[in-house]
Amino acid sequence: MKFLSRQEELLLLSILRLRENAYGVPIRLHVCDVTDKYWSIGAIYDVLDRLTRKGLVSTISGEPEKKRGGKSKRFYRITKQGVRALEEVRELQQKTWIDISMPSLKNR
Amino acid sequence: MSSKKLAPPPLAAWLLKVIASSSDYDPAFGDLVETFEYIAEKEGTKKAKRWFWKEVLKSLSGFLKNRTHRSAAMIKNYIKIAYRNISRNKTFTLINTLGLAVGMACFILITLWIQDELSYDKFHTNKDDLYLLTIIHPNSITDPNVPYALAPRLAEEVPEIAHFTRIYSLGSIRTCTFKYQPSQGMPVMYYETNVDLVDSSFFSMFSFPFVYGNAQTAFRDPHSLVITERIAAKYFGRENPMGKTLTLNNQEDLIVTGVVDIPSNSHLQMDFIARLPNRLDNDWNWRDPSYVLLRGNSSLPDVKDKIRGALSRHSPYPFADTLKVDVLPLTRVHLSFGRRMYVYIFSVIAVFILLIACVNYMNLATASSSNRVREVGLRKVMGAKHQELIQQFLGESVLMSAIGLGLSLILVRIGLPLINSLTAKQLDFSLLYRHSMYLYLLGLILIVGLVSGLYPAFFLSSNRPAETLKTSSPFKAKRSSFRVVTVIGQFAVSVLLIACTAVVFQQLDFIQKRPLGFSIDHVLKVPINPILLNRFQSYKNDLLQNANVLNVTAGQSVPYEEDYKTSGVEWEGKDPEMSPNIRYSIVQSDYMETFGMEVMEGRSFQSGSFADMRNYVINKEAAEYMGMQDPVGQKLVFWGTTGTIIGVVNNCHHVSLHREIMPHIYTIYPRHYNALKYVFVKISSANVPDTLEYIKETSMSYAPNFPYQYNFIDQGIQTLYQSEHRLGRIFSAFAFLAIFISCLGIFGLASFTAEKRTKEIGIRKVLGAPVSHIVILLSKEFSRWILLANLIAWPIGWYAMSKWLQNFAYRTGLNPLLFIFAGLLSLMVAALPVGYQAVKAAVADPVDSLRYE
Repeated sequence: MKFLSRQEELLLLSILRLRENAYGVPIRLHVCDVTDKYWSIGAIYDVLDRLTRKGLVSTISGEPEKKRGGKSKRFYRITKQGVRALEEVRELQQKTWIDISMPSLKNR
Repeated sequence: MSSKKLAPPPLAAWLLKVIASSSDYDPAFGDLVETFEYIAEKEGTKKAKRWFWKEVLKSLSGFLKNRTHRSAAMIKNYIKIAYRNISRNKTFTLINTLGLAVGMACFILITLWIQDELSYDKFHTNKDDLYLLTIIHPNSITDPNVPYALAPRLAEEVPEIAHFTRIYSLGSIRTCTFKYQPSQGMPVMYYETNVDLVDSSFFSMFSFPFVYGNAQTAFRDPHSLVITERIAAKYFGRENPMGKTLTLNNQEDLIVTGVVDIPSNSHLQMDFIARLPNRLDNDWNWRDPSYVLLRGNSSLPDVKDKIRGALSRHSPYPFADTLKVDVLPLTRVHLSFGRRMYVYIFSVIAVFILLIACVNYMNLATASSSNRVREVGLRKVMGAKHQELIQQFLGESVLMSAIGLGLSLILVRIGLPLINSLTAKQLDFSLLYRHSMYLYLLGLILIVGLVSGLYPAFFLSSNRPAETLKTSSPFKAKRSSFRVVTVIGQFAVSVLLIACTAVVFQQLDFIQKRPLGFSIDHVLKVPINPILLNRFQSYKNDLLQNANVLNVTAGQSVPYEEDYKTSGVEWEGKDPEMSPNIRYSIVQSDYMETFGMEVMEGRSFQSGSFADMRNYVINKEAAEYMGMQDPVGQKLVFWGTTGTIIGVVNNCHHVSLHREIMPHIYTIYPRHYNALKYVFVKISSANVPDTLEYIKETSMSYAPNFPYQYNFIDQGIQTLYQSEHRLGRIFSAFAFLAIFISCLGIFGLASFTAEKRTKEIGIRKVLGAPVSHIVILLSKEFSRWILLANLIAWPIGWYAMSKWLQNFAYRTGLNPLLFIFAGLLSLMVAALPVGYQAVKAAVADPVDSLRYE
């Protein structure tokens, strides 16, 4: 089967890390934080939608909030398939990196 | 308060909602708002708003992609269907594209015009620091002219002023001749009017591009002269003008030190620019503008504070403390003094005409929806989503608007020379070949496409598939109130424009037919020169030798544009506090006779009488103004010279009818003769060519070294109302376009109604209804709409035109008949397409319409 992309992996991991609070705003902040790059909200949702479509996450709608212009939050939970897909990439990562000795950057 | 401040930019939020209309995107929107508030709190609202916009724009492509990701086959199908629809309904396609093209062409043309208006004086390097000095009168009228002595005083007092320049319009107070003597051959000489003297800092303040010479060297010498390219060609042909000598009034030799190109979008338009002598530094007369250049970092309010009271501090006027000195940014000068209104009016008209065209599309698309209801139903059954259908229809309307734009560019190309002649501008098609214009045109396509397509898209896609597919005849003759409202709106705008055009022309007619108080027929205007002035009496006598020369006099200006005002008048019983405002004319004897002015009391100036030199003639208004019951014989002091009033003439319109008749004094005092600019010769209508030849020969024999030219002054009066003529013509063009597009739309609608009711008409005819009956049946509804449109348009037009007429001191009353005329005209014009369709439907053979049952 196809492996997760780096973006998908990143988002799944941040959903796991955020537990109960995994919705758009904190997910984006977290991703921006770890990658040290600017992510637009659209970019986050692009990946989230893909994950949802693949069935790797499930969604729960919260209550509409006045603070959010009357819109509800959408919380994300990782599904069993999601966990499996994450484990696959971790395994792959470990396998592929084993015994790799990197040439030093300085000498080149 | 605070919650309002924290709202995200409404336009961006709206855009997002339109593009991402599905509720799937609610959480994302919520996230946006939440983060927006967070940023607003931390880094300020401004930054947050910018961030919001960036986010929305970035996400748009993503949203669109998500929603348009369907196979290319589907898009191909859309295109195919669109093509079929276009080619099936040829009439409606034609109406739509033609309407859109005309509307867009109109919009583009007006945009070009407005762009040109806004571009005035922006080419100066110092444009942001250049200001025009103005004087604000107690009645809050802003006067662009200031005393000559003001600018130098201000420059001494206010350190922020880096440079100043005054414009002394020599050509408007004195006749100017320029002579060029080539090394061999005849001298070239002409009378010139656009002659201005300026301070030496002129070219370091304004950056007019030099064709020859440069700004640094142009005014090094006091006898320098800078001319425009046109003048260089006029005097020197193809020769290099630099260093050539032009003689001003046969007295002063000026050396051409530069040739400049004065762009047409400069509000300063001058042909000859020479240096101003310093003697004006104590001249507190005001007739001309002055400009100042402020240092880059000066604070404008500070400067305004410092200069406000300058007139009361320095000027000798007793009433100076009521006048405030102010500055006006150079880039705003062109649009101040009345022009801004036209920019607003035309922008509004442009938008309305475009809207009328969009409305056509909406109405025709919704009216023809019956043809597509089944298509929509079938698509829905096959799984098309609401939004997908909306996109399909929006795509179609954008396609139509793109085709319309293509056509409109052709129309713009054709229409540009027309617009140029209407507005006296030189707009060029190449103005459109710019990146910003490409974006603008693209935006125009999208906006027109969206505006005209949005309503039909929602309308069409909201049908329920079950109903549309179930019934055998999918269309019910449901009257759409939206359509009624829009058609009424279209015609209201058209009627409004027609009524405005009619009022403008009526006012023009009124001012042209109004008796001016003097006659200008067969009066010749010959520019005066020093020789003619010195030997005026014998010149006059020689001219009168010819029996066809009836009268000869001289004056400052043609009588219908003599706007010279003074406060230097005293009379018995005058309130010493009062600062009078009186027009004056410096003339020669026989002035009243030449222009056929009516002497009401006393007499006019006697030719050759020395006693009359100190005497005055006043007009009726002046007698009332000065409160004189019996003015003849009373004493009057004009500019310090005491004299007697010898006569009262009837009031004359010495300026355009925009302004009131004012108290007026006529004087022939020789000390003022330098102000005389023209000889006026009244000739009889018999044997005009010979008389003209005689006058020419006599003048040439007196002053062979000066050029001779003449005009009949009745020709010049047209130019007084040029801008009103222009307005009238532009309005009529717009009114024509508006009613044209509206009629296109109503033609389409009428044909649809007729088509929809084919069967009904057939049955009616079978049952014996006459053709006339059916025509009335079909036209009744439209007539009602147009009548309603009139009811809306009339009060608006009435209000707008009474405002416009207030520009004139003398104006025609608003005639209700004009509005009724506009209404009838719109009704008649609309009756053509409606009637055509109605008759067509009515005379059709009922067998055809009923056969297929």
